[in-house]
Amino acid sequence: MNHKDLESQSNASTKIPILWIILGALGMFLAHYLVFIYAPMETTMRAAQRIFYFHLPSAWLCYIGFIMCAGWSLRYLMTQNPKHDALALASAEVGLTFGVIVLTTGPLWARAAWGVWWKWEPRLTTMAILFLIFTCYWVIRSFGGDNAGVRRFGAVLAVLGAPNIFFVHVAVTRWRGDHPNNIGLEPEMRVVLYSCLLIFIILFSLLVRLRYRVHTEERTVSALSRRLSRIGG
Amino acid sequence: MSAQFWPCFKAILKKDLKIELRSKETLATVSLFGVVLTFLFAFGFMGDPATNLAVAPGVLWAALLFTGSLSVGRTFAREQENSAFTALALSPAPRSAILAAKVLVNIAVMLGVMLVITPLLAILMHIDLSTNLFALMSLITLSTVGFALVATPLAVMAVGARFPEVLLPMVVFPLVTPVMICGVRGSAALLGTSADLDYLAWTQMILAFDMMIGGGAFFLFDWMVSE
Amino acid sequence: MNRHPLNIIKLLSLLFIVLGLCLGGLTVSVAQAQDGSESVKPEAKLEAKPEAKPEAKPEAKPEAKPAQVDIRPNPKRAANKNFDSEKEERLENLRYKHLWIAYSLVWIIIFVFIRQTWQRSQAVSSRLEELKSRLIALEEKDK
Repeated sequence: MNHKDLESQSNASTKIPILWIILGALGMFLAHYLVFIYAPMETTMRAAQRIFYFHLPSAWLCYIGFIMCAGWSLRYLMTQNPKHDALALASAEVGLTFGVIVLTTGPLWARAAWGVWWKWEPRLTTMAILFLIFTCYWVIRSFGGDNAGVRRFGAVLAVLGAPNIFFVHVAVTRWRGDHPNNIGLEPEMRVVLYSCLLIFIILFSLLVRLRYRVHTEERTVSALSRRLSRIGG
Repeated sequence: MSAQFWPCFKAILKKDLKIELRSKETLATVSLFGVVLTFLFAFGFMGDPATNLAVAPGVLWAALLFTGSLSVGRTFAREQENSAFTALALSPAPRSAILAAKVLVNIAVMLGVMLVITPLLAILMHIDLSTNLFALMSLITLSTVGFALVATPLAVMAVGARFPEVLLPMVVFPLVTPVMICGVRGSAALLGTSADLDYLAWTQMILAFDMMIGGGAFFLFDWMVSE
Repeated sequence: MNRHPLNIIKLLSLLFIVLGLCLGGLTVSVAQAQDGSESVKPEAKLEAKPEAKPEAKPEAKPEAKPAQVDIRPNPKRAANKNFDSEKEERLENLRYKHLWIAYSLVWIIIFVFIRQTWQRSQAVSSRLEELKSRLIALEEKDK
């Protein structure tokens, strides 16, 4: 690899997506307008119900991030392509970020709506377990060092963890089940919810791309520095 | 490749069982740990008979998880001590045969440990297990199988990691949550403390989990072990 | 990929995964069929709630009016009403407080994540530049 190869490679994979950043920022402002001004007040939960517009999209995206992580991990295991691993790590990290949002807004909403911070019910529990599994993944990946063994360990954990969620959900559903399943949403509320979801998808893909960029660059740096130290430059 | 499966599987299984039966190292230490754990749990949760009946399943499955993670962690650590695992991985033996043999050995050791813990718990907490013994045994066996299927492949990978003894439980416990829930609820149904469902449904679910996770483990195992 | 071909064991494993998922799914559907009424309940409860509120409000008003005419139960009712409105006010405050906390937390979390990503990317790109210049210097020397 000479320096021109390096340049072309880093330019191709790691351009900063300016358009997406602008789109994401505008979208977030729009989302706040929709949530706080456009959305009608719900009758029973009143103001607390507005938490829901950010809570639900982030829960969905958290799941999507973890499923993406499992998918890329499986591909990484099969192909040993470090790019797939970087994508898996990036989507897990972004998924975890949305997971933190879900797990902080959830109890705040629950306290206002049900009077308790935590309830043992399927979605909450499933979310918590999933979050735990991928926190382990993240901890292993960030504190385990950066070698092939750790990457493979993480990949296996992700691949085994994602379908596991199906069972956790089933088990907890049968254990105890009580969650707002289909809240009768008014049309305006639906509009707000789906536009928030769209905006969060933009934000999600933006964050994954930024994160992926960091990981690939870090890998290039470590490969390059190893090479240079071998040459003795 | 698959033609070599049975001979390799039998050879590894025989070797591991022989080592285990001669030294009794893992079985003895982990059983002792289980006994200590059971006493501690009994001290912690002992109450009136109704309370005992209610907490016993949780105690039993918690003990299964703790002793299981200890014994599974030992299986590959022993191979690692004299670099035998490198030789095993380099040999032409199919990887799935290695995994299958190791899983079976782990199941055997864990069942041995549970054979010590379960009666002890029943005695210490004054619980009568004899009425539904067979159902309880099948529940415990299936849970053990599930645990071994999840933990064994991960234990292979934890061997070279930095903190294998912390890493393994940390990773395995969240993954076996379905086993924990189903096992505890199922045995609670057996003991009559929870009326939500019959134990058969829970047993069936652990079986489904075992099949799914076992399939996943065997599917992935070729890629897990490095040369 | 070619080193670990799709052999009979892998195919069997895939079969087992599918079977396990089917069995798990079957268990759920059987359970749902068994207690179908239970799984419907939460929805019914939630739909009932918004309906119950508007109904309760008009009923409360006519009750309050005769109470004003009648003197005897007035202090008690007024106190009760005061208590209720106080409770409702406190709940309303709590709701707004939690709303603000939730949204500010969302922003803090996203901000921290972006900042951390940014810092790492800055550190990495400066390191990359440094390494690149060293590589160029080495290439020059080779020539």
